[in-house]
Amino acid sequence: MRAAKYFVIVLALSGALPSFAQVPYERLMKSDAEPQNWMMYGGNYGSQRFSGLKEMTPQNAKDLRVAWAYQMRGGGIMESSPLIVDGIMYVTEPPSNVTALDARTGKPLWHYVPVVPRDFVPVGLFPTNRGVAILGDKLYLATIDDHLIALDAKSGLVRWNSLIADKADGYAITQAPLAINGKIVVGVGGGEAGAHGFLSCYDANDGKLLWRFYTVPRSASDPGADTWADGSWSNGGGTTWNTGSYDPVLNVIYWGTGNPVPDWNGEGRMGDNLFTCALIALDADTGKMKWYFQFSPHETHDWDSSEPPILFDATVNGKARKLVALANRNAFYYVLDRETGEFITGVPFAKQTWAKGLDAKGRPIKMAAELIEPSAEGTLVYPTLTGAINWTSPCYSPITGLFYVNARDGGAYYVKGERKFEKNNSNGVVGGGGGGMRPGPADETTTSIRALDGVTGVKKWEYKMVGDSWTGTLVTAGGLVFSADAAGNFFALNADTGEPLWHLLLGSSVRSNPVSYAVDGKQYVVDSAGNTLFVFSLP
Amino acid sequence: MIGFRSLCLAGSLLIFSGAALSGSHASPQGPPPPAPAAGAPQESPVAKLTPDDIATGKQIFAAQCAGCHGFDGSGQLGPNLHGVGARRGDAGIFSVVRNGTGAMPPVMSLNDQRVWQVVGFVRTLGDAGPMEAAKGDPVKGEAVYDANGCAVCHAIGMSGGGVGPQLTTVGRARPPKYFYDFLRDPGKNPPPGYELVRVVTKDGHEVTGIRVAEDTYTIVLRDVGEHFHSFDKTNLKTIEPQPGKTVMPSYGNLSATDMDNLVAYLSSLKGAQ
Repeated sequence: MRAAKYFVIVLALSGALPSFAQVPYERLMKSDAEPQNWMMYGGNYGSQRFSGLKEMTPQNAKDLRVAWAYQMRGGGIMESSPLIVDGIMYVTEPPSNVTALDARTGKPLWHYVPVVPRDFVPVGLFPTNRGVAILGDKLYLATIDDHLIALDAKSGLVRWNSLIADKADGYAITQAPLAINGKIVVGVGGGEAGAHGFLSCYDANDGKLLWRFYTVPRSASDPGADTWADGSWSNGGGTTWNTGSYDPVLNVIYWGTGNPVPDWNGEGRMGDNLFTCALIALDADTGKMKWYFQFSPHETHDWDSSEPPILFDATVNGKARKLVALANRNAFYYVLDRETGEFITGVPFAKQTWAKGLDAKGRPIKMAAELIEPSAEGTLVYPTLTGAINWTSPCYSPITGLFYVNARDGGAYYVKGERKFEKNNSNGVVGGGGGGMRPGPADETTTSIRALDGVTGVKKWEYKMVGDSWTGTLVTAGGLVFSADAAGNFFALNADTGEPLWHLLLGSSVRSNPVSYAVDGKQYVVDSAGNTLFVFSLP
Repeated sequence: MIGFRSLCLAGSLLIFSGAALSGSHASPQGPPPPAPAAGAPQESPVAKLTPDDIATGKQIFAAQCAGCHGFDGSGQLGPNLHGVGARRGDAGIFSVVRNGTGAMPPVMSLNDQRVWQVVGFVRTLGDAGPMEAAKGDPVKGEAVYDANGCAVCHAIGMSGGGVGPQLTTVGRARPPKYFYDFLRDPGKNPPPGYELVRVVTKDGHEVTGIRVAEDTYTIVLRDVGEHFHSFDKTNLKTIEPQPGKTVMPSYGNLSATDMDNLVAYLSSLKGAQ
């Protein structure tokens, strides 16, 4: 416990502000019944990022304007997806700070600033934080230096502090944890440093570890060890660095896993390298694996499968199915049966040159190795190293049945480096990677908002942007899709047609996922640009 | 004219960052934000690096740096790095790699040891000998520069125009071969931020200029008179990039001697004054 090393600044507590109410699991489970609140990273357990609010519509979107803004106290770029619960907003700032704001006016209520060692430079990722979880009367924060910290939601005071992993082993965390029934689920990042991936579950009351699932074998007898030649599972990888989803009825957690190690030189780790670049389905009580689906066997381009899995139910060939959909960094859109992991759909949603297609079970049919494998001089392959999508979230509307994704079209020259791998953060190879990339043809990378049929992946419309946008998407019951272009134009599109309705230049790049909430019956949409959080409403 | 504004900012040249480099650097979880404070330079271990370390540095350089600086470090989008060690020192290079500078983003995917190996490789560029010397006479080259009116568009120190890039330190960043190639065919490889675009408004007005800024909704051009033109794309009929063309005329018709002298003069511009 390091509680003594942390401090809290209470700025103001006014009796006029909304009173804090408990957030029991039952409220989270039925979050769709409270569209005024955004109570978890993905909006609901299915990570749909769908807001049930209807005040903003295609007819009035042209009148949107800034209601208030909040500037972070420190530098850097905000990547946080805030929570809003009963009129209070909880937003995180780099590297691992939490700020509570009055969601109606933007006035700060308290700040929490953990002490992060100043000399800690995580490998392969930027020291930021993408959000907190809430359960009961506590917020849950995972810090860049691998602590899981419970804060009193009213005051920001530390209630417990558990060490998840040792940063000296390459671990670093930027994600928002996931709160379920009495438990906090959290993953780890650090694949470029050779961190050995796992997903952990903690008791929400006291921070005690309940279970841990390793995504990569730790011994020759572990499941999947035979998919790593010469015991190369010991390299690690398969990190779990983005927030996953949960089905409360099936009691199953769905989480994406990252690259094998080293990234760009696969010669020393022949085989499929389970369970990297996969979606894993775990029993929430035990952490035991129910099924897995590996999108990119023996991956060599750093195309993590860490994208948020989106859960929805739909009719497929006349039969009602429980589905999980994922727009993968490898440029394919996948739909699986979330009870069994059965492959249903797999189609490209962005430019790709690495696979001829997918077979009947969803396994990629790769192009010839000389066309796609990293080489000493660099091999041009689409998508880029940062992928057709990266950490930003797509969204799904149960009203339109469409899956909305900010898709990147572009290529990169993939370079193979030395095969030798020396584990851990202090001695990684090219940051653990065994190679890297150079930019592809200049000015070619573009991004588009694409609306895909949720079941078939067929594109219904697209909205092309200029530049390389790093913003997620939000869809509302009022019929709007929100996102932003690379220059920082925050915009609203018609969710049915993709027609542009409104935009406003925010003056810096928008690198976060928009969310929506309401206070006193008034709808707001929030996103950040640079170091500033902007909140929009109708007049 | 509806939706058309011509902004004449006389006497001042705004500095824009130009088009962002596409593709980004190797940043597995996102594009690089502004330079963080972390990773302050340490005592240099470069002198203790082994040949294996330098080879690793070369490999990293090929994978992550050559896209802008060229495989041999002689510069493309980014500056020539030959001789940079003498100017910045080991810690200075380390700091630039770790924290970024100007248009160069910070490199976060390398741990300190790997950054030092890159520094070690970059030092070998300097140690391998200075950039190829220009063969002309820089004093005579200055006369060629003046006679051809280069100063109308380019500034050296505090005098000259702002249409083209400043040349005050251009001899530091570019090898003579670059000048020869560029002077003969300036449209072939214009520096970033100097791409030429032609637009036609819906009411038939035409403007051709350097693309200062462009997003999904608007585009700003700067013409040869240094006037800024800002357009809403909804008011434009066409937006046509002009690959191979540039505001800069070709000087391929200079005599071989004049060309050598001009290149020697440009190569001598190192900002010492």
